[in-house]
Amino acid sequence: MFTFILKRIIHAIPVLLVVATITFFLVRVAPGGPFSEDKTMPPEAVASINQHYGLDKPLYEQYFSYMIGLFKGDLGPSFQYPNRSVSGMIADAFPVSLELGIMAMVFALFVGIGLGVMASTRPNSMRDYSSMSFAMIGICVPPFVLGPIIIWIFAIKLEWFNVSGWGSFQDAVLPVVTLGAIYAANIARLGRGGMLEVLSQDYIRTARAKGVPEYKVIIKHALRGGLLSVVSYVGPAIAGVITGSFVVESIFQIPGLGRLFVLAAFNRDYTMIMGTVLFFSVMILIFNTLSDIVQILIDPKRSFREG
Amino acid sequence: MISILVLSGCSRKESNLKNATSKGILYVGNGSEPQDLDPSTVTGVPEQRVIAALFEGLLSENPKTLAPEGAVAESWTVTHDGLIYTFKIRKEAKWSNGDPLTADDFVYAYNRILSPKLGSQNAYMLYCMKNAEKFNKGQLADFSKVGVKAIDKSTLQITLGKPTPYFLPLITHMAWFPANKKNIEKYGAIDQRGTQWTLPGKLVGNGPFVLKDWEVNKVITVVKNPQYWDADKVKLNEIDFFPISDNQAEERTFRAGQLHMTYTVPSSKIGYYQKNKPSYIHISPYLGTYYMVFNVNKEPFISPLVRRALSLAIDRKSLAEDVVKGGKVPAESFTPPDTGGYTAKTNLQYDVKFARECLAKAGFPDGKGFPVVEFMYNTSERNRQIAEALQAMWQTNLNIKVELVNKEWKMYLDTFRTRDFSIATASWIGDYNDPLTFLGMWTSDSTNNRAKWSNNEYDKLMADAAFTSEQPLRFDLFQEAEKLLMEQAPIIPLYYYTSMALISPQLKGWYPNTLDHHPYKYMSLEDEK
Repeated sequence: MFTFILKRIIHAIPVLLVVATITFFLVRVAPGGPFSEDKTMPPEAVASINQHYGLDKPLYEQYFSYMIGLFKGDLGPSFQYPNRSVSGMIADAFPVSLELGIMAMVFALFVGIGLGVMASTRPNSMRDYSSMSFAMIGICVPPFVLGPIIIWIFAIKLEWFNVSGWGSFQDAVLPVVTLGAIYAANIARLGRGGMLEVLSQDYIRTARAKGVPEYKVIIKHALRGGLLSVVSYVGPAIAGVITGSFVVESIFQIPGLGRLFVLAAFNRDYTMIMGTVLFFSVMILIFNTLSDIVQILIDPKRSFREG
Repeated sequence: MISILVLSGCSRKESNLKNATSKGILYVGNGSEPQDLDPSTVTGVPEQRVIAALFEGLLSENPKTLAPEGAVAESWTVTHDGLIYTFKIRKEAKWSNGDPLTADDFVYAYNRILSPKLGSQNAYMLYCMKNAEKFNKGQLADFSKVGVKAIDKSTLQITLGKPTPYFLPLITHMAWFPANKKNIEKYGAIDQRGTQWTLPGKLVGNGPFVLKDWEVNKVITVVKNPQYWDADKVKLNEIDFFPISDNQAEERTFRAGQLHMTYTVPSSKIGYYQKNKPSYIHISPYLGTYYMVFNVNKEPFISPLVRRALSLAIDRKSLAEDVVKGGKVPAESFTPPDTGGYTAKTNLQYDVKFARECLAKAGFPDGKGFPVVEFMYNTSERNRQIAEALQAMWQTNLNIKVELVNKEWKMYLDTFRTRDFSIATASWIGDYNDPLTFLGMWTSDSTNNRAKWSNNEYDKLMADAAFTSEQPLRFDLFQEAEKLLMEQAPIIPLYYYTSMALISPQLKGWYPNTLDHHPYKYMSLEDEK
């Protein structure tokens, strides 16, 4: 397993370099700069700001000095928030997105696997149709619709939870549900499919023939194989969910990474765009590797040697 | 899902707002996240609202009338020619760290904001001061030649380059706030950008509140400053500024009882509040104009007749009342009414017959031969509605075709640089309460002149006004300039802005005014009976 991880790390380095290079040049090509504002700045002020951030140098020079900084672990100062560093801001925002993402994923796994298993045990029954329609709703209703609806019901009418903010249980419930709903729905559908396939296999029939109770057949024998597709889905999905969602964070005023990333793009905050893109790439690489490891561990047909 | 919600359904603790009100904590919805809190370098409105709690200038604005009143300065005199102002600084004025606040702190602040290397976008606000512009543009290296001097610790003398009748209201702007040298230079040089001095625990201010906490995208907390010279008058104990840039989310937060005040109201909710909770919503005139700008160097808009025709063919009343709503007032001029006592006498009428005549005279009878032109706006629902309404009006009234192009904000700004546009929407919010902040931007050398319109007569009128200290004479020159601007029509004003706010009944001491400035010093919170 160690060599497997090491190999993955070695493969990751050129990937990150390519991501950094492409992002660096792509953001520079976008029209408008970090300091273009509604009120036109006097040319003297523009020159002095460009000099301060090294934007007056040729592009290749800027690229090399950024890459040298990157190797030293320095992501530079944010252009938008001049007294803060990109790494500091990511370090502040990531724990928030991580917390929200983990809670949303736990919610999604519970609800999704529950619905999926429920549906698969009685295919084409009322139970199947109702859980799958529930999942369909989860997939079709986007967070920017679901969020305001559950806010209206549970925060404004029933006054159970807070509308926005971050810090208490009351703050967390609605964003967790809004963020988790779509993942729960996907997990439910994948889980149902995987379970149906496994439940029709010979070893399940054998188990049933031997008189193993149905709940044991499902939990002990079928679940492990039935959830393989869920595992391969959940890996990258976790990387997505813990790195923040712009929509959910904006609806609920959560100080997470998603807002930081999207607003950086709008503001042409070059260093912040670079920092967040690289951070996302690292996260995706890590969680893809983790999901591969878990798959190998639960699927006896695969081994670490395949790389 | 529902069951989890029901299981956890312990009801929300005592209303957030009630709790905050009893502790004297004001919850404010403050728009986007402030970039920095340095009064010399920031330009944004959300920044300005926080800075207003943390710093104070020589003079401050009356919360109702905006008239300048003594703040750090307890009195002032001006010479007969209107060129030399002498301010007496209060003995009891102090910084939040206990340092005495002296005239030198103002000289230092003005040296800092005018330093070319700092690159402050607000430096131009000080250009009325003698030699300030030269120093800022690097044409003068010796700051002692700039018209500001500390006569002694409590006397500050400011010499102007030319009479500036709006000087006293002007210096209530944050560009004129003092700076604590010792504290700023602890974290960097005088002209260094982006140093750490504005972070919590480091910022030293002189306003009614001090910075306690700043969590990016979450909250900025300021608490009462015991060192403030007028601390007895400050009734709030704390203000929490929440960065909520989505006005729909902000309104929901207000409705759920998590905010005392907002600076915006989503247009879809105006009707609801006006009908059901009229005491909560406040709509008042605001010092800003929404307008359209032509690229006057590009055909067919080189001809003033064509520009005028397009202006005459717009039904502004219907645009303001049926399309934009929210109490917006159809524009009659570029400068909004009663700007520093000036109201333009121009009258932008809706006259389709005259519009057609102008177009025919320009060589396009009944719109024949008029090229299809692009109308650019920056992406927003409101801009799209306005652009569509104008497109329809021009098509019906003049038989000309306009294509709508929407661009993301920074792309939109960049288009003005590349000059690749024909007509574009734009808006302008006055920097200070004087017509110059509106009319001054259309002179040939103004960097904000996006039309690139250049008219010698207009430039001369504005230059004459700059050297006229008598307000009535000055206003006459502005009237002439404004008339010329409307006739030549490099821009077409559409409507004047209104400011909108949601104010909970617990909040007292909030007054509407045209700059949408609401000094926290005068605010208090009272439990509802």
